[in-house]
Amino acid sequence: MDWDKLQRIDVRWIYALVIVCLLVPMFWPLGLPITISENTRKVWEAVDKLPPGSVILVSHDTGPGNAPELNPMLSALAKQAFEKNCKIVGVAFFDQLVGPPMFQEYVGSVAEKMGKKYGVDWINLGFRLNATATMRQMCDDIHGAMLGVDWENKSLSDFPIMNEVKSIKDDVDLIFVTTVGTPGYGDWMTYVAEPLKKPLTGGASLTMYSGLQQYIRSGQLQGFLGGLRGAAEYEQLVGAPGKGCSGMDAQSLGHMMIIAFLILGNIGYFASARKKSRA
Amino acid sequence: MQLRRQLPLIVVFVTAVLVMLFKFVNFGETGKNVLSQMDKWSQVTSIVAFLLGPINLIRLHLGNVTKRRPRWVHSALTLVVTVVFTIVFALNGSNGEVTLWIINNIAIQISGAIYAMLGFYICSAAYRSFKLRNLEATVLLLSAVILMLAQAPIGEEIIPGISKWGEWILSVPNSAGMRGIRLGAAIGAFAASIRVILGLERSWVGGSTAE
Repeated sequence: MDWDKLQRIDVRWIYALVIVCLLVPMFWPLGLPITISENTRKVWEAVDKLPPGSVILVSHDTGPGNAPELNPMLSALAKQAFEKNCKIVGVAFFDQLVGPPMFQEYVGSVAEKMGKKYGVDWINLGFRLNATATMRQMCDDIHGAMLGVDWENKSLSDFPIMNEVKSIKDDVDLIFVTTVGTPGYGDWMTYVAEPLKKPLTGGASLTMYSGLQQYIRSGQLQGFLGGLRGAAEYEQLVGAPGKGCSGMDAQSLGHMMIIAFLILGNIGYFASARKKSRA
Repeated sequence: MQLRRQLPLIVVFVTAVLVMLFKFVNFGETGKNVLSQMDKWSQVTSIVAFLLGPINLIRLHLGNVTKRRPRWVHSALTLVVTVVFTIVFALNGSNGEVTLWIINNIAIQISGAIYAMLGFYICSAAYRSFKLRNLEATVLLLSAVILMLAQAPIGEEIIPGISKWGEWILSVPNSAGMRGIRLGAAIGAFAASIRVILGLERSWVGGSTAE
């Protein structure tokens, strides 16, 4: 057999197999168990140790591409937070079209199921440009930083929750950030979490995972949800398997397929090198 | 003409000195109020600067369409979408029913599909480039395989405990490398900022670098 042909498999076969690997689990779920990582457990603990009635500031800084990874984190957080009677205040700094509507949809659907009221137990403050300036201002004056309105341009003073939450410094107990880059944890640490000594946790797309480990090791970031896997683990911890868990089977098959092609490509590479050395 | 280049440099220098002064010297409430006011100015400036984006986009694509440059049809489509969406946004509001329908069913789906295509390219690129050519490539390939298995539940089924290996790779060798990169980048950014504040770096105002 001409083994070095394995180096030159038509790319269309690879693409076709990727599609198959993503489609198969939709019809025949594998239902593989998901082990909980230390980082995910730390996120869960950061929320769990909050006393009832605490306020969690959520910054949902996602774009459309990463939304499927990050949105399930919001649902799981909302479930855990509302079960503890914590309040959620949401903002967005990355994408005006995605962050606020997704926050509204995902936190809103959990709130509805759990009987939590908008403006009383949670609120969506919407999107603001210039994240770092807004963050700095929010430390002392959330109303001023958000120009006094929520994402529907309704006055913040009309909502009971915002009569309690005036500033991050005095009224926020945990900062939960889901991000795809900038603004990210670096900004939140520099301008908010470190100066005010507020705990910071959250999740990000898996591509950012490697760049954030040093913050976890230093204790500046209390745990971390890494991509869809992190979301799935968090869903399991809060006892609400959702979109994160359902995406895990596709991720399993996709990763296995890449590894299979890596093996095939390397067999072809060595066969080709051997042929050349003989010639 | 000279002032056109010097004025931004003066504004940057004065603003930077003021911010540093009020940040690092304790002026009490006055200092806090000045910094808070500056943050508000910064927010307003960003909103105005944000307008430049659509203006430049329209200028560029309008030029492409009127001069019938190659692929001008794409530019025409961009203009139509920009205008239509702006009108919808203006009439329906940023969270109106129609606006949200467009965002959820068109914008997010298209962007998500484009992003999802990365999966195909990554798969094909990994197949073509990850070869055991030398020691470095072998380390890279092995790390990649361990992390891929660690990130998917099936990995734990094949090799029990592999997710711990993945966590170790990320938290020990990876953290060490990333800290080095970040420290280097931070020092570089600091040096670059000092050059901009002192007016030594002028390429951003259309001038040449002084030193």
